[in-house]
Amino acid sequence: MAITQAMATSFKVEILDGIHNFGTGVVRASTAADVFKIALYTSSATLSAATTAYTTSNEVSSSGTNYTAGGQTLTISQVPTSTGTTAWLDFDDVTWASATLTANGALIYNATQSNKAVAVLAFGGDKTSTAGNFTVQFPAATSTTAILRIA
Amino acid sequence: MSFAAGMEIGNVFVQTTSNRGYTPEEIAERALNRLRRTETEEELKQVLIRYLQEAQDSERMNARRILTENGFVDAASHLGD
Repeated sequence: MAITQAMATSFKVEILDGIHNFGTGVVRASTAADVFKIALYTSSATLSAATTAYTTSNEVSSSGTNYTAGGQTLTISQVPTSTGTTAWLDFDDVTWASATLTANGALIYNATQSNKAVAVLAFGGDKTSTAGNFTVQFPAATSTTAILRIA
Repeated sequence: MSFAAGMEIGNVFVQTTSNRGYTPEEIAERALNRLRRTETEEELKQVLIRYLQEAQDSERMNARRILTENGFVDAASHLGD
């Protein structure tokens, strides 16, 4: 017999499922998954771990770009699951078609929960499409690479 | 006694085009990223469906552009967004 101190893997998945609530003031009226969105930003934007919510400041313009303010809704292709002791989830790729835009990064945010920030994505430089496709592909859906993981 | 646990974020891959849809090679590159991690036949099928659909969409975008550039704007509009 042995006792091994650890965070329960099931708990990690349940955090992503919104099961546990250590705070106050959180009201969940629905058992459905929240709506998560991804917005694109120019290199003038300031986004970091300190970002708390979606902002229109330095978001890619919605004028003549085929980009709509607020970005696109993400499809959860893998609901929270676990492999080994890591909980993770995955989103489908997202594409802006016939788009003329330049973006340097993106913000994933929770549109259901007052647009609260989830993750900041840095593209590593300006990415440009001209009357073409602009696709953000999420990393391989594994416990070591997936877009959101609790290890 | 303590233990380490933390949240991590993966790296995304951005792919863009100018004045066209994606080529089969570009779509294959992204499909391959997904195919590498499929474990079941159903997952494999879904990945193939997704990227084959994207290939169709890209070809439609190319056709729309050609029609528009040659003055057939109305015809191009029938191909959708």
